[in-house]
Amino acid sequence: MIEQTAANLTPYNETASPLGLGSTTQDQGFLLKFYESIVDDLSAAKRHGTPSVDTTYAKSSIPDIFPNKIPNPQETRYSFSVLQEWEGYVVSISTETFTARLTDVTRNCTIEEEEADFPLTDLEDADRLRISPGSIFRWVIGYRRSPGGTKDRSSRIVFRNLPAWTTKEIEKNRHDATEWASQLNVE
Amino acid sequence: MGKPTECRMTKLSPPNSDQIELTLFGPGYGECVAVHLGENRWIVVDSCLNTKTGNPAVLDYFNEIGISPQKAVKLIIISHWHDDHVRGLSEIVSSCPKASVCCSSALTQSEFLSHVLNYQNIMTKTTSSGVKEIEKILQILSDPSLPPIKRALANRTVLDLPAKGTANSCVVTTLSPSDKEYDDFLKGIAALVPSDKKTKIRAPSLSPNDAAVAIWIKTGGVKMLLGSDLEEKGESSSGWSAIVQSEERPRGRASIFKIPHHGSGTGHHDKVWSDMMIESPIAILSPFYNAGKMLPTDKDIARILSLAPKSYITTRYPAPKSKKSRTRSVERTIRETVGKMRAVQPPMGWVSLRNGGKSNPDSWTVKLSAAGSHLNALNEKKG
Amino acid sequence: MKECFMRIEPENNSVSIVLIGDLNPAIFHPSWFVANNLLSKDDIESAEVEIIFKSIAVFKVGDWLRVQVEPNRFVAETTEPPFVRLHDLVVRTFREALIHTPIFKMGINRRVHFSVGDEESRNKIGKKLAPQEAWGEWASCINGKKDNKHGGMVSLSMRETGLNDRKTGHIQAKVEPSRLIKNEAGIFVEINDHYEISKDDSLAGATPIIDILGEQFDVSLRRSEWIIDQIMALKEKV
Repeated sequence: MIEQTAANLTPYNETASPLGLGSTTQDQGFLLKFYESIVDDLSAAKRHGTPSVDTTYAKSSIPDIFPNKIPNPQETRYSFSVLQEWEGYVVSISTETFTARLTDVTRNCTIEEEEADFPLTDLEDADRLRISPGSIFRWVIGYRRSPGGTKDRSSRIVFRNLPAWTTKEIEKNRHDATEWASQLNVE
Repeated sequence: MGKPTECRMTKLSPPNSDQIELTLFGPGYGECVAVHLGENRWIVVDSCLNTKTGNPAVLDYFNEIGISPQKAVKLIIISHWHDDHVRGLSEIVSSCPKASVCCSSALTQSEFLSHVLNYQNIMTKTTSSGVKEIEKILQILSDPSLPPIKRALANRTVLDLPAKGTANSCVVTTLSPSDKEYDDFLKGIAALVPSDKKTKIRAPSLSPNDAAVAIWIKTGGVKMLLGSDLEEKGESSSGWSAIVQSEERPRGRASIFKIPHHGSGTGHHDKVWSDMMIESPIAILSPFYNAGKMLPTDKDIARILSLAPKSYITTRYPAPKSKKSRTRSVERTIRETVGKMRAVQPPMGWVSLRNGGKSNPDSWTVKLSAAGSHLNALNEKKG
Repeated sequence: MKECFMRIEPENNSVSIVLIGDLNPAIFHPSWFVANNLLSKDDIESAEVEIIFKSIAVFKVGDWLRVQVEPNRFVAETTEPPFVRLHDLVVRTFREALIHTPIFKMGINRRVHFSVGDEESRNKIGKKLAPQEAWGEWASCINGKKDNKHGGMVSLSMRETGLNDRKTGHIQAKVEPSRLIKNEAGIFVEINDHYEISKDDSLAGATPIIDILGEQFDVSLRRSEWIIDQIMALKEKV
């Protein structure tokens, strides 16, 4: 049993996900009240003709906009369970393949111990255009289950959408580098 | 110089106080050289990781032979900044607080530091690069209580030790980079400045290896040339041409040669052999594996053996198939996707040269790890 | 905890990142993500908007992403590995486009549904986690059957506090019978890895929490799988 504090008495675990399935009745009760208030807001907005409501979801009645407010226990989705995952970086690219060095993420390795040649045809079109030496990706092997329960072995390569450089960051680095160079004790 | 005595060692012992030793470790995500100058005075050039322990190979070696690096290491030279020469170097620098650190002056300039800052934080923990290691080293060296960084330039003395006990005096001279190489390096780095909104990637390498530091060591009558990864471009003001033609370089001929750039043709210059080496010196090198290809190539091996029949390599094994065992489903999918996976590096090996001390300075014993071998063994394996 | 495999392959699997802060749901349209290089044009072609309004925005992208934004909460969830893709999206969103948004709490959540083979095994696990004897005389009532239904554990949560890797926060695990897996043979486990920063730190915008996300995401998922594996191990012990 844990100590009863204000933190424990919050109505729900606020950074747990409210989406999908498995919420307790207590969570659902709190969320239901929140969603009902949104529905009230929406109804009011519609009455007053407020323009900025985008309800692309094609259902006729407003409460149906939130099909997941009471999660449907029968709802299932595709599921992928990972058997093996690597992080890799591209070393070189030829006409048909790219070579990459791989770090075994599943085994929690920190240095790249393996290398392989991947067919470029395995990549999405957008990735094939963007790939360059140094590009970083994840290679995942596992089982994909459909809602119907069928199971297939699957392999996928996903290039990481890492933060991009910004002019501000590059300028800051240039400034910091100048300062750093002046502080180094060089004979 | 007579034929060196070869033996394969598993148990290691420290050199005698008057013995000169040069030990080359690699590959192992890099290569590393440890040189004993007598009386427990050591220098370390670059770093590589022991593939078995994950530690810097030279620290494992010192531990095994009972050397305390804090007291013994006088100089650490970063001969250049590529991944294959710096892994674990920050740990060596931390372990040797009394050692001076020497690197190309270009690595202390704001253009390079800006490059380091741009590429050191790309928010992925699993993909390291030489840039991160250099950043760690320079941060350590920002401590004003440590010795100042020594700039490596053409024909600059970076260590001058007096004779001590049974050891001769010793002078370590950097032979490169030349002024042109310094400029070319900074121009190359400037071209790598990323552009706005470009997704971060791992730091690219510069080729050729501008800012590589070739090193000349003279102690007593013994002279050694460590070639780093210095490449020849065919220009008189850079690469080996600049060194060979320099009137200010140290005179004499070396009897020991750490072959540059893993024996590749781009690291070769005829005049290095004819003007700077004795006839048939002892040559040592470590291989390099990249995208399934190995240096030295067959052609390189033939060329090196013709110039130095007494050549040794740290490992005779090619990059093996990856030995990691995984479930059948995973192995099958790997086969279907990429065919075979290769290990990035074979197990690390070493070659160690020790002379006969003051009484027999030109008599060398070659010690080899289990993986190390005479360079001929690579030809025999393929035959 | 060098490497961790969940010994039972989950039949349903998801990861979500939840951020608590001050948000404006109305901007979170898929096209805004594209304009800020956070999603690609290919992603948008498979996007389905459920609603974009001042107090809520909900959309899906293909099978791999669901986003829900409320005035005080941002939720991104995925069922498709590599899960680091979710991390990258959230990091980029709040490090680049929304860097000034005050965010002061974060949850990295892992949910699985897995089968333990049959109802009997599941019941044994439930009784191991929540012994009915503790309920005294009422235990026999809980256990009593009517119309082939019986009572038992509905939900159990355990919380770890005093963690060394954060100033404030906790790890909370919840175990329930799974409503997804057939034949009453499934167990649902949710791990909520919760981090908080001080209000003063949150004035710096999203960066402090996003820095924590960058450092902790892989570690958190690995730890969550390790905790889940402890529950899975009960199948062998009952």
